[in-house]
Amino acid sequence: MTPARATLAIAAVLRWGSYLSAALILLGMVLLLTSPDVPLQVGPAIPFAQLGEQLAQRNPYAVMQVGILLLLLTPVVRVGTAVVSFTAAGERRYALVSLVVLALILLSIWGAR
Amino acid sequence: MPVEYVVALSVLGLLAGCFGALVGLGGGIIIVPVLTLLFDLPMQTAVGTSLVCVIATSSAAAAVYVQRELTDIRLGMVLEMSTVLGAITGAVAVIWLSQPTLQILFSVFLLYASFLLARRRPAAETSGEKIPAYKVRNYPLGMGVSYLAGAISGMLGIGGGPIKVPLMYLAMGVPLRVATATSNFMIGVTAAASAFLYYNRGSVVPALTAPLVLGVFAGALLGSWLVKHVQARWVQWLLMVVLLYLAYQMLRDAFGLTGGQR
Repeated sequence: MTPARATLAIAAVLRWGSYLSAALILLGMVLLLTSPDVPLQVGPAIPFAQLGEQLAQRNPYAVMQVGILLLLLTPVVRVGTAVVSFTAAGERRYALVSLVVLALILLSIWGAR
Repeated sequence: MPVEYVVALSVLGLLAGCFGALVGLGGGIIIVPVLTLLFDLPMQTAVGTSLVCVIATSSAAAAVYVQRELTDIRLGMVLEMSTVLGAITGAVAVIWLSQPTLQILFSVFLLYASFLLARRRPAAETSGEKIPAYKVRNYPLGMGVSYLAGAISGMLGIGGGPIKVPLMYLAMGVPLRVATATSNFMIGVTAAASAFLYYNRGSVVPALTAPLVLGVFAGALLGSWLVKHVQARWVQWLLMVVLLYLAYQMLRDAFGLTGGQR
């Protein structure tokens, strides 16, 4: 992968991550404001284990939450893209640096469970 | 959910995103104080919610900067090793800090940011100009200060641009436009590292975060359009007044001078 292509790949991840999460959050908001039967729920996020089930029931909060999670994951995927790009370009030092950053974030996600 | 709430939060996001795009400052630094003072949220919830907005601003802007090749991706990745470590430290350490302590820390940062704004001359937008060649120096200092910037970001829910940009520009020999783009690039990853910790503590409230984030995205778009139509100097002064006012209110709140609402 040439440096120019790596740059484009990183930019694409950031752009599409933003678009997609914004679209999901907006969808969740529209669902919420158009369904009067959904109770007010100003509380913490739905636990991961119940997220799929709530999504199937078209719970607006679950849709929003998936959008928010996607937003949080966008920088993580961006770092992953950097690992792949630097490895493919033969820049081993920076591939390692990116891998350290990725490992630290994954550690934080894992520790947060 | 009351519609007024949704509208108020969207407007807050819109303002924050707009200032962010116009001045390169004003995402979390506005959102956290307003959420605590006006919406009466606990500091930790305000910080967790703000971090999500910080990621939104960073990702959207970074996509543009990276594509224009203004970002020093290699420098950014190296410094991210410290900012991410700092962010995790900050998000963990915050549990032991009381609400007033956090508010005082936040006020100090608000005062520092307004001081920077008062001194700043609006950079002439020379987007066509070529970036001069440069060699990054002072890596050890850069790593140390980045760790600190990460910790402050993880504790206070801000991006930390006012620390990273001067660091790279003044101490590491990076041209200002590259420093700005690279700081922005690092902010998303830094905020994500601590945001997951807040998320799992239940300090990210989806119902509040969603309208805020949408406002931030819209504000960033509006700001990048407005930038050609308004005088940068006035926007900077306006933001400075806002930050000073927020610092004053936050200090009053920290010292219990707001009439015992809490």
